[in-house]
Amino acid sequence: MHAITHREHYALLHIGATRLALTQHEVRTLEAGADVGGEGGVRFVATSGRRWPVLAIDDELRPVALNAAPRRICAMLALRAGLFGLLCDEVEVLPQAHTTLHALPASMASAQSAVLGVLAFERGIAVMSTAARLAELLRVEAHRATRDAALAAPVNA
Amino acid sequence: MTPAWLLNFGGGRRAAVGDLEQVQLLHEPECHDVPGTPRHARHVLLWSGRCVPVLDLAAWLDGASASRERSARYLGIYAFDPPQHAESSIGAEPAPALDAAFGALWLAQPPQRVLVRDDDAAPLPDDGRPWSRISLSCFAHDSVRVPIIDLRTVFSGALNE
Repeated sequence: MHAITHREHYALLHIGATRLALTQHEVRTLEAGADVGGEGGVRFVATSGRRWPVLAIDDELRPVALNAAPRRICAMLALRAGLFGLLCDEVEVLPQAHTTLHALPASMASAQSAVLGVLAFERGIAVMSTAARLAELLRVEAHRATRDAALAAPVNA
Repeated sequence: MTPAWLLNFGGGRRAAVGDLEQVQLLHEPECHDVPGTPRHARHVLLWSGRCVPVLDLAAWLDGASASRERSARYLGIYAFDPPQHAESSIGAEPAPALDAAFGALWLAQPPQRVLVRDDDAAPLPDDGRPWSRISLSCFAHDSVRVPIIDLRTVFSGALNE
């Protein structure tokens, strides 16, 4: 419940009614939602010479089918092992001077939630997470591992 | 006799907290919805520079049978001894040793101050609700059993298990 002392720039991903905050350096690039390729459950974005998996979540941060909630932006989030795309409606950067990050109170936390904190800013709050936490809950690594041949191969190979 | 605050969560669900635990009462405050959290713990209140968890104990007590509609319009803010903090994965610092922790509960009515005598002690209500998980003891008030709840447990995350 205590404010966090260090300061970061945050990128705010608008996903329906939810505002999801990630540290700005975790958002590597923004791609157009229209550039998401693939068919059925196998969707990807080609960038940095490779293809990376793309996922969609709803306002409750639960995974949904990509065609369930069309969104116009694909934020490419950085993991140690590469990237993955997360579809959203809009992305904005919050000036650090106008934000205060609080840890999520223990009474609201659960092992199944991506939310790690609450970021207060002048227009309200955003829920704070990390690319690694989202990837863990959305099973991005498993998703990639089963489709490496199709998705993580170099585009021009 | 010991003073206490009688809390009414609505629907006949009542409990009590210690006299010094009640800090403030707000009427229809602006709370913020936090997605991806348990249904009884959906909101936070930004209050005095803090992010205070707001719990709907009525929803937790009734579990799956709880109404989706919350009739409570008051918010009680409570202070309690903080649990031992593990360092947060996002860099939160542990609370100072003497700092109180705060939490808020939705209430159907403003709290009522009552005086409790030792011989008011009573068993917990046998209404099928999980009072034993959050109660320190219980007393009878106007022929109704009123559990005294342990705020440290209520706001510890134990309700999510």
